[in-house]
Amino acid sequence: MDILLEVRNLRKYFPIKKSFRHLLQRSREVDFLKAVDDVSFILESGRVLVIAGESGSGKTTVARLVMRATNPDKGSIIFEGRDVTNYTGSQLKDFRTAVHMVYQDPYASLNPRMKIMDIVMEPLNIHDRASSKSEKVEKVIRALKDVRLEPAEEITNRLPQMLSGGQRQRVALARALVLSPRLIVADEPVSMLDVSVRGEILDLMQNLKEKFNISYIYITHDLSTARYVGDELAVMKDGKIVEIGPINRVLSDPYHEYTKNLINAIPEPDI
Amino acid sequence: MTATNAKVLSRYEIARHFRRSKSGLAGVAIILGLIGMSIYSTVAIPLESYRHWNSPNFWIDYPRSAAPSWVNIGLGPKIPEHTILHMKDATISSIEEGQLRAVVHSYALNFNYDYYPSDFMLLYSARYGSTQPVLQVNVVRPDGQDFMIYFASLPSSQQERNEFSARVFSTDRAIAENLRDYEGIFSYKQDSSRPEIMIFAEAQENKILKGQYVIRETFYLFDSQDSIEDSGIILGGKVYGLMGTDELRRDLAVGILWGAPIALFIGFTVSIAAVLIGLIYGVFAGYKGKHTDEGLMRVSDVFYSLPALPILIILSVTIGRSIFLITGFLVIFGWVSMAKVSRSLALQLKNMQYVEAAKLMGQSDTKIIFRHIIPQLLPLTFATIAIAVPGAILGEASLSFLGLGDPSIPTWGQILHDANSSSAASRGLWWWIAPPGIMIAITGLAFVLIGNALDSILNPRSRKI
Repeated sequence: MDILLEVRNLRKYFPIKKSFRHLLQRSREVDFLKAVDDVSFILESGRVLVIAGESGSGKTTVARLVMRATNPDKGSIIFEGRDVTNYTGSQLKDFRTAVHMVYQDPYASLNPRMKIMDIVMEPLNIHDRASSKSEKVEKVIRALKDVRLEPAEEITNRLPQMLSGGQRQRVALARALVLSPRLIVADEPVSMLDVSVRGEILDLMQNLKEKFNISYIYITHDLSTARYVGDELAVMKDGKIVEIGPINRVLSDPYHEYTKNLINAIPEPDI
Repeated sequence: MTATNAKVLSRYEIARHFRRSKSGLAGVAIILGLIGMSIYSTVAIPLESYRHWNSPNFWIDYPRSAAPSWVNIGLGPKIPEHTILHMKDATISSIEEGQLRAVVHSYALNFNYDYYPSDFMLLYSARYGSTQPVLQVNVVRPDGQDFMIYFASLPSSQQERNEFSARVFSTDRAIAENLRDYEGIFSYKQDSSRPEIMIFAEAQENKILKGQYVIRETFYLFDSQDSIEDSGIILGGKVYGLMGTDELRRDLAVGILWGAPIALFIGFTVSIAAVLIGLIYGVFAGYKGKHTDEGLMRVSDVFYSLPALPILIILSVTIGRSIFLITGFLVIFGWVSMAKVSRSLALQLKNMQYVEAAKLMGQSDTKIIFRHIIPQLLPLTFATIAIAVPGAILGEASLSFLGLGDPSIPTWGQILHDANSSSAASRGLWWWIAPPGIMIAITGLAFVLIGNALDSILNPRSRKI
């Protein structure tokens, strides 16, 4: 297996804003929130890395760092053998064709004033200068069919508010898919959806992974869905990865106390 | 997630809510009326009348400081209406005897007023060569008396066959001399040097003779190639037209009508330009953040803290007074508040997930601003444009009122300025002051009504419960 993404000693601290009184009392010391503190992991091509942890553990910040939405204070991100940590300009733009993100809230991640066609076509308009307009339309419709939004032609004319939550998340996936990316970072993609459609979306993500050889970083606080999609599991607490390994091993034989607590928190059906 | 996202109203929903708002519809009705006025004034009133607004010659036929003619409606004494008759209002006949031709233009005039006319004028315009035509004017009174008030040859022409226009005033000595022959008809002392009274007075008693007068202008032409191009009569009265006239004889109806398109032009241009500049400036500052934001906002603070009117006065005195320059000056002071509002909204919107999604797919900042942020602010933009219109109109009106507006075109503020400098208020010339003032107020009101209606639809906090 070739390595798609390697993250080495990533660190991101946020300065804590102090009150005016604090400023008067103390000198120039700055307190930091250690959002991501010395995080390293490796993601192989075609695999799914689950990053789990409670809220505030820094898992979304890891996602944003990998996406190059914010710059790390320290450490490096190596994508397909190239260090992308300090990419800017056109290099960064190239990187953005290969890595896409799916957000937690499908109601907030789609512009409410744009039609589905324009939403899904936006990445094509940025990166795909070679295709003509009709080729782009075709690609959009193919992406919508790939995420099983039918009838695709009719849905392209709708606004996001005319779709259900599950359908919107499929649109978000189609938007991530349309440039045939190698990595999709999914930040709790099903936690805002009805339980009934969660399984469908997770199935869809599995299918797409096999069909297009896409890797995922799947961020969740819910270990029950992690087992369903994941190959590797990294458990985060207070900005640090406390345990990482193959998902079945971590779930069946956790050695960190915090992982055990998380596993015990999975609700078991009483029958 | 945020207040702006809480309610995304589609265009149709906004239209539906707007149709339910009575005040908004009233505002739209007023503006449609103003647009109707604008169209009427550009189509029906010749462009010349507004171009010649400040040339006294153009308005020579009009009365001075005449009240609107509708003041005669009612029971009070009837004030004579200023009447301007031209060849098209006359019955024309002509008699030929060999070389001699007599062309008769006769004007019928109903005089049923309780005051004498202030004066009258006879107009003619003839084309002739070396042989001068002769003009004879007769007045046939309702009591059957026929006064020949004028008999003279037209001035000799210097050049070959030229069109010659002139007017004979009622103060002309020839008229007084001709009228002396008729003094005997009156049973009391009548003064032939005041023909406007003598002609319209009763023979037995010293009072006005009411009824139909016929004024006959007979031209005797001695050359077959001579022709009469125009003739006319102006009876000087104290009331005229729908809106009266001002001190400089200008028809105020023309000024008020032409004021409408100019006010709408200034209002819309200034508010649209200012709001769009403010919108883009503010969104750019809010979206870029950090030092850009800080710098841009400090610049806008400078504009915000400048006292607008004194600086506008200085600008129009030093740079110029054309209507386009004034529009530009008003834009300079109009964009700041929109910049502040749109900056604060951009600060909220740039944290929306779809904005971050666009950023992470590599979209450029300009496209994010124009595709993802500004479309969310468009409803607010329209409401703000509507609310900003009256400010612009009032700004131009106050500059004009101070005498710093564009002097070449009739704006409502300009008319008020003229009224003020002729002390119309103390002389009781109300028709010079009230209509432009009312027009400014109505126009402002219309846009405020629309703006408030839109604001209450788009801004949930101010919506009525």
